[in-house]
Amino acid sequence: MKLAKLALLTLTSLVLFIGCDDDPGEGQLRVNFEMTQDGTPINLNEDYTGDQITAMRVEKLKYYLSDIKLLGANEALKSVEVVDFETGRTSFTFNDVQEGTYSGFSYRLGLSAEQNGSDPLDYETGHPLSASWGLYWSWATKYRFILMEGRGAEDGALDGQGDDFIISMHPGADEFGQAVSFSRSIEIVEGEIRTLTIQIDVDDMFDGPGGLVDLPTENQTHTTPSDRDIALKFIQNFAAAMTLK
Amino acid sequence: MKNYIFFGFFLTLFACQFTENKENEELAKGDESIDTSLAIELGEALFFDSMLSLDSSISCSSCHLPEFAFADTARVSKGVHDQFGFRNTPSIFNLKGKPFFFMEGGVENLHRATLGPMLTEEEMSLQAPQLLERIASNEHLHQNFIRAYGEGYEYRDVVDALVQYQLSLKSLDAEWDRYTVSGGDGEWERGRALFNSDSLNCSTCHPAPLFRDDKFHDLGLAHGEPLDYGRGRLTFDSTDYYKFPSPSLRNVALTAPYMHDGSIETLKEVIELYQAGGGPRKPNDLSTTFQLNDQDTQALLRFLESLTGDAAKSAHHRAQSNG
Repeated sequence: MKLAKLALLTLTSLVLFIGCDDDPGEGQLRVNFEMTQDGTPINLNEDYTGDQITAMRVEKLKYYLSDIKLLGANEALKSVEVVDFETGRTSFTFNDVQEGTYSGFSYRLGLSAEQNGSDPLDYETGHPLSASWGLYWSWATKYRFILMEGRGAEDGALDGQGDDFIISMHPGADEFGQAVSFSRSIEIVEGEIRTLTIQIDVDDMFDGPGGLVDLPTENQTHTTPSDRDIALKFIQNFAAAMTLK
Repeated sequence: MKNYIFFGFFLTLFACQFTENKENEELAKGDESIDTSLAIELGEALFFDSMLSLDSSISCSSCHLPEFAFADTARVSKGVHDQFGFRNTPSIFNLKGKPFFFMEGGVENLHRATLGPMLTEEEMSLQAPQLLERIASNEHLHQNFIRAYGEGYEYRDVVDALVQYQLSLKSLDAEWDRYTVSGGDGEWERGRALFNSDSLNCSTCHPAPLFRDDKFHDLGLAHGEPLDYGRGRLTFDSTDYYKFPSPSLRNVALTAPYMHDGSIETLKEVIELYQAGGGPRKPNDLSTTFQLNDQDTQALLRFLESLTGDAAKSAHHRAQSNG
């Protein structure tokens, strides 16, 4: 009998708590990433003429985003996410976003120091920080923040001949995270999906506020003492090459 | 009324806490219940299985050859798609208690270290989801993993099995061990005295019983291509540039070629390097030179051979006689 009373009281208290709920409505936010050249989409493995090099191709592109949030919101939408063009992981939908008008969208390109010190074995397979994405540098116990690989040819023909060069940009270090923020009024409406598209310009990722990455001579970086400056330039430019459409 | 509401709330909290504690207990129980011998058996099977590499062309044992004390005979090992690394593959005997792994010294546990060759593009290059799929499609292996780690085994359990196998690889059965335990005169006594002498000073960086000091040293070797900064690759500290950890000299007679880049073919040449005060780049951490006559060199070599374990030697001879 006592147990029944107790259960009734628990149920009542739960009902009261739920009854007091006056949460505002919720909508969804979808964020898409695409590679572009002056606004025109570029696909992986598609040859294009770059500003700097006459024949270019991006073959792999992956990167980390962390502390993803709507400006003006109390909490981050997600603490970490991985974008991988090779597997088509370029579109992310955030559910249960509180309705309202926000002043923009932001994230860190890369990881926080704490995230960068993670052990991938602590995460389930498939988690952005697990050993599932080819981004973990086990020898250095840290992650590559961006993995961008491709080819270039100054003679205008990617033909596997001697003048082709391999591009391999792997920046990653605690202090390399780049704050990316877009000021834009973003309205989330209950029951609706708001879509943002972020374009990454394939020319600007090599030439921007970090300085020119001279591709014929600066096409490899693994964030070692001899190529750390290239890694830093590249990640700074990459962050600036992102624009919200 | 208010009191009842709070009571109900706390009851709910208590129920949640109770469930959480129970889950923790189960997790702990699960860890304890892992059958280590089964994990070692699984790890051994994986170690020799090329399913661990992206193109199924190599296994761990392709570079860690059991007949060469689990080191490689190549200067640098070949990974998937015929890619070459840039350092010599070390022996993996006696890893228990090793304070760090890899020549930069940044990896502090064997689980993380094991990820290195598994994930690196130039080595096995297979990421977690693909390996789990391969294991799941091998009924025998899959069932053994369930037996060892439970239905929901994860990638970390695959790594753990490999770790358990590596930890089982001990080599403490050399002539030197028997001499140390039982006493007596080793025929290599002259070499041992030279090894420990002030003039050669080998034992400072290669102290018994594992004959490694787990510290980093610059021996003045020529810069490789690509430039290898050693520990400095991790720390970006110029005082760490070109410093590499002293490897264990256990089974050293079986682990040629030598040095971090596999650039020296024989132990005799290694001794000559030390005689000359290290490589061509000066100054380095070897401040003195010394002279040895042929007899002394042979005595020193004989001492180094006394560090070869019986099991490692047998594996070597077996492989040699099998061609």
